[in-house]
Amino acid sequence: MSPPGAGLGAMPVVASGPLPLGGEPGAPQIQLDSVASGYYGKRVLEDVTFRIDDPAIYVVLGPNGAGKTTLFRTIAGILHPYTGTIRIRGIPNEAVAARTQLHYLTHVDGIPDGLRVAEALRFYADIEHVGEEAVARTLHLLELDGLQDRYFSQLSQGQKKRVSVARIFLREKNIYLLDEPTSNLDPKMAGEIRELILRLSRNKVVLYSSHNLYEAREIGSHVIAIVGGRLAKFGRIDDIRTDRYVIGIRTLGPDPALASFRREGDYYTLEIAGPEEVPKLVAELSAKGVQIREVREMENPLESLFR
Amino acid sequence: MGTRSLFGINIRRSVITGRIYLIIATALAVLTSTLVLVEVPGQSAILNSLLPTDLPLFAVIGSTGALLVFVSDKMKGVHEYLIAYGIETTSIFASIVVAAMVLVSIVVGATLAVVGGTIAVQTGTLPGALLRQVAVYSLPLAYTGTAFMTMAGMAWSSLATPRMGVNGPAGIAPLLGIGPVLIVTILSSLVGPGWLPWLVGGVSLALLGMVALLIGLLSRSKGRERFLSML
Repeated sequence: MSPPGAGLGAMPVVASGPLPLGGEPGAPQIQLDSVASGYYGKRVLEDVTFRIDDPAIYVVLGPNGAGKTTLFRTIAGILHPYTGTIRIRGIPNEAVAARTQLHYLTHVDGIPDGLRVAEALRFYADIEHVGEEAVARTLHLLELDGLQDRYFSQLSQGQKKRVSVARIFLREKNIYLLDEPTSNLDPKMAGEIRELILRLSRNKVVLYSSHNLYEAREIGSHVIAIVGGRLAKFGRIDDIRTDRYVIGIRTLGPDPALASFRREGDYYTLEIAGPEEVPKLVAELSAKGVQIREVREMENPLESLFR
Repeated sequence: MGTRSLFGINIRRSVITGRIYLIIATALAVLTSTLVLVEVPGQSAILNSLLPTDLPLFAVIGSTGALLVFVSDKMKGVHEYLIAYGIETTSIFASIVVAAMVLVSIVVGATLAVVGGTIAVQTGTLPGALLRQVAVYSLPLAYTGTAFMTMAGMAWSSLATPRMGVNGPAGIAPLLGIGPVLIVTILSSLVGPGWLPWLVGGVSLALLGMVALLIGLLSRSKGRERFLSML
């Protein structure tokens, strides 16, 4: 196996070249109008409308069963919406020309039975019409060199996830639908995959679902919140206002000047009006001789979406 | 994208996945057809016609690998990805049927080569009656019976929760292919020899019609959730 991080050097993130941009010039990258969708007539999504114009990472959030995976499957053209329309760059999403614009990754590994790791990637490379070089580069990029001759069924859950994720690096596309791409991965590999996705996402539209609100905030710039099958929020994460703003202050040691503050672990916590008050507060505490080591938000604004 | 590749990939995977079926079916077809060539005093006329009769049956069994690939891919979520990558559901069905036809060709080709070669060595010629029976009876039923078995198995797998093992489509579907072959065999003994081509032709057309109907119905359905491994 390659040394850790060996695959993440200066090499291109995607092994094979971009697809030509299809669709209507100037059309939204993704547009959903009043979409209802589900399985065998049972509606999971109801009246979902949004449009994505700008390349960015859009984090899809929602409790279990909210409809996140159903949203991905519907946009990918796997589920036919009961009502409404979906367009990819102006093309109806079920048209082949639309589906070939996007990469889709879900929590189902989708690796054919009885294949070794390299063979599994070759299977999808053949479908995508990319060559052996793309397979070799992707194996290296995802640090799968040492596993390429192992049967997929013999791998650990984390290794299987890496192979499954590797597919999206075989060929560059314009839109990426990534349903929990870092689940089952250890923190180091999850971080490296996130880094690859961040590099990949330049000038791309990435829909990225996660249960981890901190990961979501770290990687995403926009949020698509689904609650009970309906769109609860669509917008920039920075624009989400919390109903209360709590910061934590960590000092170099116990400080009597902060004795009146609440303690949460190593942090003295304080509710203030908003982030704009932080510099003033830090200046005041410093003037009182408080030796501040760290100031952080104690609540993720994304949590407010699900309270 | 990738439709032509899908056909090649599924042919290769069907051969690999179904190699045990392929080997056993071909071996049995060759063995049973060759054994009756051994001259036994007083051997019956029924034994003389074993090659045309058993070739379609073993061809159906030997082509099970293609259906195994479909059922396995559905369970593993492969179809979900293929659809997302722009592969049409018609292509998925068609690639499996074509793979099954290749497997039939392997069973039929190997059996005819060995048995025909043995007869030719023994007699110095190939009996015209036997060749006619193979052409009129064995080959049409081998291919159409297999196509029907494969398509019926895929339809079953698509409409129901797939269960591996003998109770699942891959375990039971071969019976659907063997059924029409046996019915034609029984009926052919009731009608005169002149009717055999009409009987086989009619049944073959009916089986092909059902294959086309099933592909059409399943592909027209917008409910692609049947291709998902889990909900």
